[in-house]
Amino acid sequence: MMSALPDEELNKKQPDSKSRASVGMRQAIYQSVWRWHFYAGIIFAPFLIILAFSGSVYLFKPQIEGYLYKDMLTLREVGTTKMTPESIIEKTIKAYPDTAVSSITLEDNPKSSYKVSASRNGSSTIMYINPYTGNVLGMMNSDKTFTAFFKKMHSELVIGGTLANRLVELAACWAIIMLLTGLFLWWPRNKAAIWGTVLPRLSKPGSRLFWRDLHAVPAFWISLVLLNIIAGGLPWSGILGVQIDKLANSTNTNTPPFAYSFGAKPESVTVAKDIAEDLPWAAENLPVPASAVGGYIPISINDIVAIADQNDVLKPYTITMPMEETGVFTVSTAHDKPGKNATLHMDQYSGAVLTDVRFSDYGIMAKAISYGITFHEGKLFGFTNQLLGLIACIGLILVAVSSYVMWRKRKPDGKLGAPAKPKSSKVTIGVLIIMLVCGALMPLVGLSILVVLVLDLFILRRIKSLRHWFSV
Amino acid sequence: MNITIHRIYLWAGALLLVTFLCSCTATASDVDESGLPPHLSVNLKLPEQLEADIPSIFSVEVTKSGKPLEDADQAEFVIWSEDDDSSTVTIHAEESSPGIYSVTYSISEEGLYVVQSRIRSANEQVMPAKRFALGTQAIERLAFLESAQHSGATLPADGGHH
Repeated sequence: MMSALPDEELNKKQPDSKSRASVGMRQAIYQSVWRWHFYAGIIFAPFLIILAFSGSVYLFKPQIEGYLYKDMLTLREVGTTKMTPESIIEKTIKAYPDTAVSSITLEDNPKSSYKVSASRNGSSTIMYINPYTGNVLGMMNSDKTFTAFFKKMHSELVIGGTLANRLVELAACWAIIMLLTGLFLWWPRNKAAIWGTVLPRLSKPGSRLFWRDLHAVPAFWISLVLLNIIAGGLPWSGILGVQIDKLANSTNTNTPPFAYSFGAKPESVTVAKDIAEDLPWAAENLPVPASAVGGYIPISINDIVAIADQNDVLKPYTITMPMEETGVFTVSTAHDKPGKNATLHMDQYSGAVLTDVRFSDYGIMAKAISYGITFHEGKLFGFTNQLLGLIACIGLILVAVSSYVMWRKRKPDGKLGAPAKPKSSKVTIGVLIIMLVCGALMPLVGLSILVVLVLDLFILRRIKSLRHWFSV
Repeated sequence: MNITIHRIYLWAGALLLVTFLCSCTATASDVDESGLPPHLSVNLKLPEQLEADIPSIFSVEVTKSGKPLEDADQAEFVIWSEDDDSSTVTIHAEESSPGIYSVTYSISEEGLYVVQSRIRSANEQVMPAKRFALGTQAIERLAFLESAQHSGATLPADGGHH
């Protein structure tokens, strides 16, 4: 067990020469790790503050939108019987011509409106519909909702585009490195140090020790949650996410094919002949026969609902319409928790279920990724999950702010105030190798380290004032 | 001595990990040439020539992985007029030969019709539908609908009015 011994007592131990060398080594390693931690922090803390802020708002999307768009999302009065999806869509198109419906989400909650995604005059809109009356309660451009702004800030720093998205990934990956290096720096050097590790020393407000503890102690407490949150978000990322997907594929632990409503879909292939039937007399001057047979016609959405019910797909789920002649109907669940995930693709002309992928069919990596994403979004275990996410976000901002104050207090004039380079070049190179290994695991990190190394070698070292400023 | 034990542990650990990963892989079943697991396929055949009041044969051939789907639990044809939802008739289909389910039916009035076959076996079902037209006016409407459906525009499913 830990006991709170004062620091001085432990420092009394006189080290012999052998252990003095290892203390020197340890200090050099500490110094080197601190340097990495410092530079990473100075560059990426601003991005991480943006991510933490936007994330903490977006976490509460259900509550925020539930309040803001209450009239569209929730029904004031519950009717007796719901209309069929087919007639709801028919009525909607009649009331709003020039509407092409792309999907409809059927809710199980009797007080929830149905969501219809549609394209109206070229722009994509979500229409909220009372399932009992078929009346449209309201429409919203899904890119322009209140929380969509924060989502864009969280994934593309508001400016948008690939570069911003890569920056977010870079910051997230460096955050992992900062957490790991930070944990190393935080690691209790003696068994007794409760204060300064798990409890902050706040007796002298404003002192460096005060700010140091306000940095390291909360960072330790949120580290595990934050690592999980970042790990849960990485499968979305543009570079590392693709690598993760490849790894899952090569270990055969990904989802089976056609597991999602987005991405690749199968084609409607179950009708024996071409979908279109030849009608030669329609095109040429041939005598019109007494009767004629048309080609296959898409089955009705009500039939799709019946097939989904028969296959035990639980509401809420979304039916996505076929986008082209060879397209399929897709039924995918919209549950918060991954356990009930189901995605079925159905032939649009025969209703044959082409693929039916449930959560239990996922490989272990795909399962872990699904849980990770759900945790990241704060949906895995309700309000507690959201609260944990919020604490991590606020904690991260506090940690960034306290580190800034700590640095300003230490920073000498005319210098960046970075921790000095350790004297042992062995240690510098050793830590660099560990960093490069991290860089190999996270490609953008690797790339950024290489860029910094090149800058260091060709610019920083050659300009005296810069060398002095960066304490190279 | 210690090193040997370490090595054994290492190998055992690696082996355990591999076994663990192999037992947790994604469920993938045998797939056909379209990359799909076994599923039903259909061929709905409507009479090419149909005259009013003369019985004609409507049939559907159902296969699974190339083999006829025999002894379906439920086999029926549903026929309705595009102009009149209440005109829906449901006719029980017989398995005339392995995997082929058919009905004999006659239409008395000219017009545009939809015929849908509904076959269910265990947990699987198919319900392909086609339109057919009797009389010049209906044929013109059919030609119009067909060209609209296949002109590339996405049309909402309009097969089911029941």
